[in-house]
Amino acid sequence: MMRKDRLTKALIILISLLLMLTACSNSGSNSSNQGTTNNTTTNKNSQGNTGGGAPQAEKPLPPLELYLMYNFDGVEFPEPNNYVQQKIEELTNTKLTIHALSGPAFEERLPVMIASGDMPDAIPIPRRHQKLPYMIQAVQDGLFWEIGPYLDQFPNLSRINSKIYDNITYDGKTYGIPRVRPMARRAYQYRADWLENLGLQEPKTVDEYYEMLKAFTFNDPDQNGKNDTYGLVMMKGQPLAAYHAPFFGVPNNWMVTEDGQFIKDVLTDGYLEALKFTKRLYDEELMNRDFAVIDRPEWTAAVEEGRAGVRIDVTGSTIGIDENVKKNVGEHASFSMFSILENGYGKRIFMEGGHNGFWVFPKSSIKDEEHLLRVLKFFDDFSGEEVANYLTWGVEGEHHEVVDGVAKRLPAYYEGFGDMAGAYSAPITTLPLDVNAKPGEKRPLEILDAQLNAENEKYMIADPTLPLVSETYLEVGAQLDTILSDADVKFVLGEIDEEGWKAEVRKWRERGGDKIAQEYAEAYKRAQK
Amino acid sequence: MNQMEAQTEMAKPTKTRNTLANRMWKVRWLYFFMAPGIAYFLIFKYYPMWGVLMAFQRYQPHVGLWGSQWVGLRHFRRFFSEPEFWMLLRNTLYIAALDLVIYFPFTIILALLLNEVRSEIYKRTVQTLVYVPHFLSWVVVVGICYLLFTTEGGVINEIIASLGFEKINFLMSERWFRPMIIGQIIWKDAGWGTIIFLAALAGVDPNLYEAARIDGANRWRLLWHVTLPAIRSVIVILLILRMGNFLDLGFEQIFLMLNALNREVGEVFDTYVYRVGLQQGQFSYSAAVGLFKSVVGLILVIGSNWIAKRFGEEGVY
Amino acid sequence: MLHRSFGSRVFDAANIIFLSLFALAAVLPFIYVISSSFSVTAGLIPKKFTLEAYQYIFSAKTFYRSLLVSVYVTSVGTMIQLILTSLMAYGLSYRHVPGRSMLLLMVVFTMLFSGGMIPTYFVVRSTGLLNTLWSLMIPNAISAFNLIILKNFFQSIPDELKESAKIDGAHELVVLFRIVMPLSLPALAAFGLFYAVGLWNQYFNAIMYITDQTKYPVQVVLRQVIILAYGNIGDSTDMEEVPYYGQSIRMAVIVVATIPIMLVYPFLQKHFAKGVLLGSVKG
Repeated sequence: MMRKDRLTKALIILISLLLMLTACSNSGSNSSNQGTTNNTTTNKNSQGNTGGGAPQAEKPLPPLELYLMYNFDGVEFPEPNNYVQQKIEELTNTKLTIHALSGPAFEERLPVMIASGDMPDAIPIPRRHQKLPYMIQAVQDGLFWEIGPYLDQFPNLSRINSKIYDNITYDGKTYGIPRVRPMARRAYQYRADWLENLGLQEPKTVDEYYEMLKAFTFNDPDQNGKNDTYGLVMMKGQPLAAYHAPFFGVPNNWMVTEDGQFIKDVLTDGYLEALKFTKRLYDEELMNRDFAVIDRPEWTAAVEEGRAGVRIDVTGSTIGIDENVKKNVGEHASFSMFSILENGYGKRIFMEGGHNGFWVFPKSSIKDEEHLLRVLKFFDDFSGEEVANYLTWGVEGEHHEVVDGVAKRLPAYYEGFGDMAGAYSAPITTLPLDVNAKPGEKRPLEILDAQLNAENEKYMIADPTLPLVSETYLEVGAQLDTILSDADVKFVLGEIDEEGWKAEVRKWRERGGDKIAQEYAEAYKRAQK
Repeated sequence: MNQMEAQTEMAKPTKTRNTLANRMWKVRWLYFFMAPGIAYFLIFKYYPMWGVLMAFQRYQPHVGLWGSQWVGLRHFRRFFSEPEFWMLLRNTLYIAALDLVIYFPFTIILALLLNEVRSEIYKRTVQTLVYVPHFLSWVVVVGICYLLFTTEGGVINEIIASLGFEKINFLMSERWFRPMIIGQIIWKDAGWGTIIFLAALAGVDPNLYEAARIDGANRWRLLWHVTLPAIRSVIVILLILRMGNFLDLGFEQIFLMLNALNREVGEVFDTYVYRVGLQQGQFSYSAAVGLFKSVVGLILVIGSNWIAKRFGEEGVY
Repeated sequence: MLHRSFGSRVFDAANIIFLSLFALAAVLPFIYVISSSFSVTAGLIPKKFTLEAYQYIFSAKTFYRSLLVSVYVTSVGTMIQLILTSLMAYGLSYRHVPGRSMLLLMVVFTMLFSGGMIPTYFVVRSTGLLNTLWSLMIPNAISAFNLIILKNFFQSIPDELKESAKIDGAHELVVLFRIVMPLSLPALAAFGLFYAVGLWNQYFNAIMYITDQTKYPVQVVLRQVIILAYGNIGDSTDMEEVPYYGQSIRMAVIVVATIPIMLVYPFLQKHFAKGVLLGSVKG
């Protein structure tokens, strides 16, 4: 028995040695491929940048070595030096070193990077971190370049909607380039085939919406003789009032009165109306009863497997559930969407930040203005015609063809190229690529998506607190928000009545709500000057 | 043993002096063995401990520890004066106590039951099966829990309904939250927890059993006089060590199970710190709460170690 | 012939029933996960049998590489950790070592107090371990918990054995490796398992210390798929950019991430059999 144990031990050692050798040789060849990978510390001064060169020098400069780090959420980031990256490098005259991490991992690492000073040349600050104390402090202490003054040198970067830039200023100054997303994209995704079966039209008012939900629940919209469908599905964490709130005249999170006072949405009459509407849906069983418990997978499965008829999400995700419901239920199933319902308050929709994080440029990595300008130019070029076309359509003849002046994707696009391009386009793009890319044939839901996004911009209501900072909110905001969201859930479920809900709102005010209102008012006044 | 020692003593003509240096020299090899381990602790555990000081500052990552402003006990004052503090304490203690009183003994009993099985094959099979849930992440466990216990078509509730009773809202009630949490912990980790006891039991000299049987002991006396004493010291050590992490509950599990309806009994220190401290980037505040938990753990460890020694057990230190 | 009482036999029967039920309850959900990974919709029995989830996962080269990384880190790491822990536990198992109490207290202290993520990162950085596979094996090299319990196991080995070996002229090293460790095989197997599982499941260390994606262990590559399905934990990214993986892929990910390490235990089981100490004291 002793001998056998020793044999196994020896085998293990042998195998590990072998693995060690393979691992070493792998990483060895990989690091030589990536060249500057191991040099993860800061100094990435572009070489050969002789003094005084404006970005538009006639003599071509050597490629800018750019070290980027960002959040990427696919399963597999493309191999280093794949042909997509090489093409991007060619078109932008850069040599890219990219370190991609999943979103949560990226967020964990961000403060550590700031603490250690090991920063890449550009880094995207996630939405949620925009107003965290450590970020504000870092900006105030001059960790990042203020890029506002340089923007007009870059055609694409300047084309970004100024409202979005406004949302990411610190003390009125611009430090970041936003990764632009549609500003108002709340969408009510519904089963179009069910609607048709029932002989109904797409709802335009809140009452019609209610009728649709009722029909989805009680009138057997999938015509299978079984009572197995219902209207709306919601999940844990989704705001119960805010999704219906725009149609009840409620402000977006906060409103500013004429004399500069800040009033929270829960204090308006419309809010309670919106909440009661949701409660009505719950009470009449037009909505799932376990909304307070289910999470994303169950929520998505409910619509993709044909149980729920309506889901409230963003315009961009409809095409996904449409594809999946066809797979699960059948080709006849389809989704469509709308964004706005009228209810006597005109057309309204809430505006969100308009971005998914923004790129900032650490001074520890970018030592001088020239370097900064070259880095900014990369982002500008990235949204420019050449790169935009490449990433959106690929190579003509290979990934797409042009028919009658309209581009159309070929199957080859979806077999690998699309995913690889996505690994770069989604995280890096600032100005959306389709601004400069050639127009092309898109699928119906993609067209509807773009249409709604554009249309919604006309009616969107901004959240005035986006660019403002309230100390109290930073400190106890999370707890206060929980008081309100829990109150909403309990009200809809019937655990507390209206009086109970109002008591919770009073609690919110006493615990800090009023103080926050005050601080926002003061910050607002300061920003006006 | 004494005989041998006496013999070696007599063999030496002169008595060596029993100084500290001499004693250390005698066991020099042991220090040599321990050196890598000690180095490890010093470098990777003690050297970074300055982070604990963050609890007394307004720590800013980019200026580091020495640049950040000192605020003394401010975070602790805030923490203790939180209206939720008592709720958090109550919830944390409650679940920690349930864990200690239910889960811990359960693993011991499970180990003993496994030990009593005569068929080696059956024993091994069961052992392998019961430790499978340990490998599933909490995300999966809570997901499965949802499937079983939801009022919307969950298996358990369907059974309850078919028996004529009213469906129970397991997932959204205060009453059921703690039982569900403990139940999940037992299901997931009881099998895993038996491993250490099985290792201890495996080391028991079978001759002891033999001798006791010859003396006419039945299986219950065997259990009481041979088996239990064999694992007694392991139990004591595990208990003492458990005290150190008494206020540490499984963050992920509880976080996933929390919702508006059970927050009153479910919110514990760890989930609170996650929401308020980490999600809001408040490093110092989270460090302060962590420090509080550590100090409580320290007191508990010292206390339980002392108690153990009073009972004649070998303590942890 | 052992005379078993009626009560004893009833107990045995009840025991077997209870254990069987518990084992069934333990393994059933995992069967659910496995079967769901082979089917389009989740279920205990696959509804529409499909291999597409596994095809998808195995088509990614990064996945293979990360598997290799994990196997390497787990096997080498476990050995390193076991050896370090055993050496130190052995030293601490002698009651008359000067400074022992203090050392033990030191060790216990580290179980309670910790500097946190940022200071530890700095240490890993200064020791040059950043972005190496060592950063997955060294910073957690010794678990204080394992150390203390292993020390206890070592202590329970009768002193005669160690003394008689030393009288015969054996060096401390020999005593440790030839006598103490073989006799502690159950404990070593247990802690080896604990360490191995810990190494295999590593996620946080990897995302903190590793930059080179070719060095990511399997949990990093696979966890993204599961964690990202949930909107609540961390939402830095736009939800629409997160490819939503159908349940079969998520289930397949779980299967692939856990089965390899689960298979380690059966191999170690023989060490938990009774009677390891048989015949060692005599003679």
